[in-house]
Amino acid sequence: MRIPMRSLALLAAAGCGSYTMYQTAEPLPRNRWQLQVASTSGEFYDLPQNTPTPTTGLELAARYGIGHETDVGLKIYTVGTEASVRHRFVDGKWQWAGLAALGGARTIERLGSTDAYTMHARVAAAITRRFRPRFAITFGPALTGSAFLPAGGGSAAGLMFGAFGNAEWRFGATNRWHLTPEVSLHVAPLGDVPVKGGVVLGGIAFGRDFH
Amino acid sequence: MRGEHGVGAALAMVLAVGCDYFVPHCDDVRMKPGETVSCTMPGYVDRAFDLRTPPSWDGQSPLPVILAIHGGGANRASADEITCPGGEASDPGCLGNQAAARGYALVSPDGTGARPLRGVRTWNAGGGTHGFLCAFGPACNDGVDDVAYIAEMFDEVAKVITVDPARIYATGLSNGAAMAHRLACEDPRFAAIAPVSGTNMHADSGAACPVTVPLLDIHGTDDPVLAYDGDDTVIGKLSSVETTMENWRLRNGCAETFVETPLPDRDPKDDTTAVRRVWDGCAGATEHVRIEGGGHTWPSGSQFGLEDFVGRVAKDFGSEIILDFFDAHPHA
Repeated sequence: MRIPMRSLALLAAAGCGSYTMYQTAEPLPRNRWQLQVASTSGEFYDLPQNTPTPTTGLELAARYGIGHETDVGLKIYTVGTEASVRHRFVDGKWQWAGLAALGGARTIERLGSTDAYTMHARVAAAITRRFRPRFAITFGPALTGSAFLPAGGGSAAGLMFGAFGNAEWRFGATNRWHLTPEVSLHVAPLGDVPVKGGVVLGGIAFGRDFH
Repeated sequence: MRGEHGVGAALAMVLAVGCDYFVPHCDDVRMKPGETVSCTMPGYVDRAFDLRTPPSWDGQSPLPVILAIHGGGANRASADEITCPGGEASDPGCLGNQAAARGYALVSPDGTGARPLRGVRTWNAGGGTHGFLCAFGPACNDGVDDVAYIAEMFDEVAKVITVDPARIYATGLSNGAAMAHRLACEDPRFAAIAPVSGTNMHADSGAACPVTVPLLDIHGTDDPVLAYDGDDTVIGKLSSVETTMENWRLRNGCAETFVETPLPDRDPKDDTTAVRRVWDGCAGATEHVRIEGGGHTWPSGSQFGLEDFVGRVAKDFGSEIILDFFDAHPHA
C-alpha cells in the first residue's frame, strides 16, 4: 500500500513545531510594532522510516519593542503558537542578537496528526550585516528542542541543530515595509521529534512596522 | 517506537492536572459488560488500544477475542469504522457490533505513527527482502517489532478481561490484513485469521511461516491499492492473492482441489459478485472469497475513499462471513 505522504503535505506542519526566524539582529525600537505574515515550504525527512514528508505552512507574527535592545514577539503558525524574545548584544557594522522562543501545539487525531501536545523551545543567534538602509543579510545557528506528549501514552523528545539565512529588503517612503526570503536547514543529532533526520525549509515573509 | 523521557513525563504530569487528557493504563481500568475502554501500552509511545466487551458478558467468564487491525495510514478507531455500512458506528452490520452480539470482545490497537505525521500509522507486516516492498512504509522501514507489541498488548488485555485462549482471532484491512497474516505465522495464540484486501508479504517474501492456521482470505479483483494479481512497483514487489493462497494451501496441508460456491448476489446494484473457494482435505481450513469487481474495501463496509482510489464496496455479504468462520474454528 502506498502511504499518501505527499497528499498530506498541507498537513505536515501539524505538531512539527516552528523552525523559521524571518528576523534580523535588529530589535524594534521601544513601543514600535511590527506585523508580519510568512509562507514556508520544505520537507522533513526521517532516515530510519525512509519517509520524506513535504510541508507547507503559514504564520502570522506580531513583535513589539520593549526596550532599547529588546523586543518580544508572538507568532501563530500552522498549527501552533510561539512566544519569543530578541535581544541585541552587539551593535555596529556586524550586529549580534540572541533569539529565544517557546511554542507549542495541541493536535487531534485527524488528517495525519494525532491526539497530542507538541512543544518546542529554541535558542538562536542572529548575525546581521546591513549593507544599505534598505538591505541586510542575516544568518546564524539555531538549536531547537521538542517534546511530543500524546494522549495515547509515553512521550518522545528530540533536538535539532540547524542554521538559517535570510535577506531583508525594506521599502516604502519610510522603509516601513519589508520582504524577507529565508532558507534554513536543521538536522537531528538526538531524539526523534519531529523526525530522526532533518528538515529543509524555504519561505518568504512580508511585514510592516507601526509606530 | 519505544521510550520514556523524563522531561516529557514531567511535562505530561503537568498537562494531566485538571484534565482528562491521557488514556489510562489497563491497571487502572475496571471493565463492564458492553463497554469500550482504551489503555496505553507501557513502554510504547502513542500506541494505545481500544477494548470492547459484549453486553452479554457476565464480567468474569473468559471471552473470545477478535483483534481488529487498522489499515496503513489509519488508527485504532478506524479498524471498526471501515467495517460499518455507510461508516455509521451504530449500524448493526459493523464488525464490532456483530462481534458484540455474538459474545466476542474486540480489541483494536494503534500502529506506529510516522514522523512527523504521527497520525499516519502503519504496521511492520514484513517484506523488504528479495525485491519485495517493505510492508508497509514507516513501520517496516524502521524495523518495528509489531509481533512483540501485539504479544505485550495481550498481556495488558489480560489485566482487564479473562481471554479464552482457544478463541483468539485476527482480522484487518490492507496493512492490517498483511499484519494478520504475519501474526498467524509468528504468534501461535491465533486460532484463525480473516485478512481482507491484504496478502502475506511476510511469508511470500521468503520469511519462515511453519504453521497450520485456519484462514478465510477476502480480496477484490479490482483492488486499486493492493492488486489482486500482485504488482511490481518502483519500490518493490507486492505479492499476489494466488501466491498467498497457494502458500497457505501448502502450509495447511490441503489438496490441490477445491470447491467453489458463488455467494448470493444480495445487492445486484453493487456491481460486484463473489465466489467462495474452499480447499479440500486441509489440516487447517483454507478458504478464499474472490470478489469480482470488489475494491480495497471491507465487504458491506464504508466507502472510506473515492471509488477511483479505493474501488467498490461489495454489498452481497458482510462481516458475518468472518464471524461465522471464527465461530467454526477454535484452537484444536
